[in-house]
Amino acid sequence: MTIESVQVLVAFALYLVGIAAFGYLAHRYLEKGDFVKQYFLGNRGLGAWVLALTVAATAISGGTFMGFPSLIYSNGWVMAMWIASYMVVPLLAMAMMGKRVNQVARISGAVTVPDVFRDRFNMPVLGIVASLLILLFLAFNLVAQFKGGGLVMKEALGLPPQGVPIPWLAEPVDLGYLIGLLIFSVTVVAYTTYGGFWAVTWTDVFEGAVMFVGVVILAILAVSAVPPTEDGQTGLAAATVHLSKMTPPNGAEGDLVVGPGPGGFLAIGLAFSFYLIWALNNPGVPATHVRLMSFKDTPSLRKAIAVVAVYYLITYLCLIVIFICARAIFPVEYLKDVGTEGQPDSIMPAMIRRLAHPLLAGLLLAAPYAAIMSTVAAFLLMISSSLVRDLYQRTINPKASPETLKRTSYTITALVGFVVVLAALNPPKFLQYIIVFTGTGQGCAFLIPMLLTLYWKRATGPGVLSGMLGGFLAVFGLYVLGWLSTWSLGESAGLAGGLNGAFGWLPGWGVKPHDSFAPLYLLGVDPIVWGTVAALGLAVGVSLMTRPDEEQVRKYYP
Amino acid sequence: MTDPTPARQLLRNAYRELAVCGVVFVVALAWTLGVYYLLGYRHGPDDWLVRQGWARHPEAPLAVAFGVPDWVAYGIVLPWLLITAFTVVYVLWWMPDDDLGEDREETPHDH
Repeated sequence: MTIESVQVLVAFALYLVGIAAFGYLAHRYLEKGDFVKQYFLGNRGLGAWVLALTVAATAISGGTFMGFPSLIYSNGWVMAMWIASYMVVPLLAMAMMGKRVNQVARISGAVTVPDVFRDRFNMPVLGIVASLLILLFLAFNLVAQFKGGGLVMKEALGLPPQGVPIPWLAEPVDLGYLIGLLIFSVTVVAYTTYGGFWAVTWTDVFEGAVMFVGVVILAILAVSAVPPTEDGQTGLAAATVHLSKMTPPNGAEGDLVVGPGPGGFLAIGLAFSFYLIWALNNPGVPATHVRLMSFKDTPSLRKAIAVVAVYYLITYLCLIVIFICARAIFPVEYLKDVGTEGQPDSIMPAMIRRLAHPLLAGLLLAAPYAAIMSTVAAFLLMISSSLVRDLYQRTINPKASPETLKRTSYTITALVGFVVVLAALNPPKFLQYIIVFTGTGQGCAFLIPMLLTLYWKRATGPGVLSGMLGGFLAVFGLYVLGWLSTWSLGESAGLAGGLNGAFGWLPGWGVKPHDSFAPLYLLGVDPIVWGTVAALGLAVGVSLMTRPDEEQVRKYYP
Repeated sequence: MTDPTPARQLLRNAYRELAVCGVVFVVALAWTLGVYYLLGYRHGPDDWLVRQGWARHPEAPLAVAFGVPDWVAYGIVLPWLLITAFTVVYVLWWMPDDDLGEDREETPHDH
């Protein structure tokens, strides 16, 4: 291990000590009040700063610091359009339904998102289906996030490649990744299990601050490291000129500065889709809803929205600037199948190691680690709340004692973490696409049902249930069709040929995707559009065919 | 029992906030996507938009503003700054405070 690696690890260790301290303090706070409400919801006591940074840190995940940078590096300025809808996310995710979801949760005493659906319509099956969907999507997402955590820690350790055989896996696991994964898992599972919601939100504040400081420092370093142009331009202007003269491997000269980008990466239909993906996923995911159920008063909500708006503006613009500069600094070194030093996913650690002193590099490497950790902790707690509160306490054993619930909560949270670690030993390859898939699935399954639950008196339980399942099935179906289309690409015989014969008429079938995990882009747009349309059509249609419970309507629409 | 008057007021305000968010969403979508398609998108030389002079010719030199392509400056950075400013002003000065009501303590029983 080099002296540089030791310095990086020292900075990293300081960060982890900070995280452990927050977990310990949160556990002491848990002693006060109702355990389940404290453990899973923070007893509806979040103030402005904690609410703001927990919303931001949960939304900013491993994808933001690993997949997104690699896409900017590979595709250039077109990625600014790809992420642009984050400008409206603070309004849509927090102002659009913040007060109302908090009010409805207070009326019913809801602790989890499935509680809200179940109690608003007095329909247990709705709560159970919501819980199962949350379990499915978050489990997928967690495996991808754990992989990201292991990879960042592996970079920090800087160990040479060495395979470790695992009895039940066909291929050995890299030692650096294995140690990285274990350090990441033990830390995040321990503080989440031990401290519950308060540990997750307080560490989110710390992690949110680390991310913010990290990207701002790195942006300044990146801009100053861009090689000047022949006519003397420097900084970001020089980076833009460099990119305009490059010819990417899958495109033409200039593709890095105008749309649709290399290889038609962001055609207009997909640009529209991605605008919707971020704008609709963030208000649609239950992790956002549960935070909106937990703030203490409306001044806290209002201030938090303002903080999140400024936070997103600076963080995302800095990320774009950093990795545009990265392409000017490393023109081909980290390109897929071309690079001599690594793959695009390594561009963030590569920039950090190139630009910063090792001690500062430790702090900067902690930024993506913090992003992954905050998302993992939030999702881990949501999964255990679904199992403990929605399935155990409200369905299997409604008379469970507080002590039993406490023990069950600790055990389930730790157990879920352990299972995900096992899955992450042999992780899937498509980190960013899995994150988009699970976000899109949650957005389609929960946004329209939640909006109708909160704002439409005429909505009924069967209607909302149909919308939830319709949104989920539309997204899942298009992903399955996409995988089949990629698998059978160009084949005319056998099963693949049969699939081409059966589905060849679908617009988008047989188009070579950028990634083999990609869905079928029916008519050139992402499944989020079809999932949202399906959820809306089914929820409204079935609601109009059934009758609302007047007593429930009076209770929730005073 | 929650007092219905502030609860009704909250509901009215929430509907208004829903509408404001919807309008901002559509305006931002039209602005960013419109500028991207007209100024930042490579069309064929015979494309109708190019012939009308609304979209750039594919051979036109790159237009740069503030060190970034102009479509990024005017189509993404500018609206992002304006919408952030609007969000801050809206939530801090225009969005009213409401009484969220009492938190029901016990776990409801399913029927």
